[in-house]
Amino acid sequence: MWDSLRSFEAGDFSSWLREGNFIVDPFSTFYTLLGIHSIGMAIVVGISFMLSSRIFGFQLGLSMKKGLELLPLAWWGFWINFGSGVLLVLAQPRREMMTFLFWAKMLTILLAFLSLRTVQRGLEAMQTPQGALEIAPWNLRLQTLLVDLFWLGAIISGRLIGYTQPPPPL
Amino acid sequence: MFFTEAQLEWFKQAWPGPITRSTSWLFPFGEILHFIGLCLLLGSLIFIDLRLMGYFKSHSVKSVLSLLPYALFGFLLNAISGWFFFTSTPQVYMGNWAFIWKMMLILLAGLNAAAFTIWEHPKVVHIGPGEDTPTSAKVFAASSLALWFVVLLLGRWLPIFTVSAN
Repeated sequence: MWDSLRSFEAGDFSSWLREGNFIVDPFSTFYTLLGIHSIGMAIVVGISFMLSSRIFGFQLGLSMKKGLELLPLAWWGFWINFGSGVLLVLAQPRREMMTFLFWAKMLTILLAFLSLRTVQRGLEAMQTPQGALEIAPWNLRLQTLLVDLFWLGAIISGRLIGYTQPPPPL
Repeated sequence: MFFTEAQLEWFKQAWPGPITRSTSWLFPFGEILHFIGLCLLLGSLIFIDLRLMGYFKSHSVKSVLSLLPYALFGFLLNAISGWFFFTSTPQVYMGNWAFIWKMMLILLAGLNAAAFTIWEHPKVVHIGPGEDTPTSAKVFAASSLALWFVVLLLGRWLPIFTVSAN
C-alpha cells in the first residue's frame, strides 16, 4: 500500500497536482485547488451558518421552509469541497494520511454531512399552520448546533494540518 | 511601493505584530478566525446577492437583507485577524502583489457595497416575494459576489508570490 502510494506520488498526475501550474505560470495547481477548496467551504459552511441562525430563532422574517431552497446550493459547495479535497490528497497522499488531524478533519466532515442531512429532513417534515410563525423544535435546534460545531471542528483541524504536517516521507 | 521602509518598520512594531511573531499559536489561531469570518461573510452575501440577482424569489429582499449583520461581523473578524497577519511581517506582505491586489479588490468591494447602499437599497428594500429586482441591483450584486470570490482566491495565492518575493 505504502509503496503503491509512493509510486503514485512520483507519477505525472500527482506531481502536477503538487508542483505544476494551473493553466499558466505561476498559478500553481496546488494553491489554485486550495482556493477552490476554500470557495466550496465558504458556500457549504456559510449557508449552514445562515440556516442555523434562522433555526435558532433569529431573522424571523425569513421562512425556514423556503430556506430549504438554499440547501442544494450548500450541497454544491460540499461537492466542490469534496472534489478539490480528493485532488489535494492525491497531491501528497502519504503526507496527508500520516497526519492525525487529517483523519480528525475527515471525521468531523462526515459528521457534519450526516447532521446536515438530518436537519434537511427535519425541515422538510416540519408542519406549520398557514400564517403561523415557524418555530423549530428543540431536537432540530440541537441537530443544527451539532452541524455548526462539526463544521467548526473541520475548519480548525483543516487549518492546523498545515502546521502539524510532518515533512514529506522518504 | 506604497510605504517607506520607516513606515513598514512602524507597522512591524505596531500592536500586535511583536506578540504575533513571538507567540507560536497566535498566527494559526488568527487563520481559524479568518476562515470563520470568511464563511460568515460569504455565506450571507451568497444568499443576499443571489436574491438581488433574481434567484430565491420566494423571499422578500428585506428578509434576506436581515442577514447583513453576519456579513459585517464576518468582515470585522477578517479585518482584525488580517491586521494580526500584516503586522507580523509587513515587508513580506507589501512585497507580494497578490496581497496588493487583494487589498485593492476589498476596497472596490467596499465601494460597491457603499454605492449599493446609497443608490439601490432604498429602491429594492420593499421588493416582496416573487418580484424581480432592477438590472442595476443585479449588476451591483454580481459584482459583489465576483469581487469576494476573487479576493478569496488571491488570499489562497499569497504563498505563491511570498516565495517569489523572498
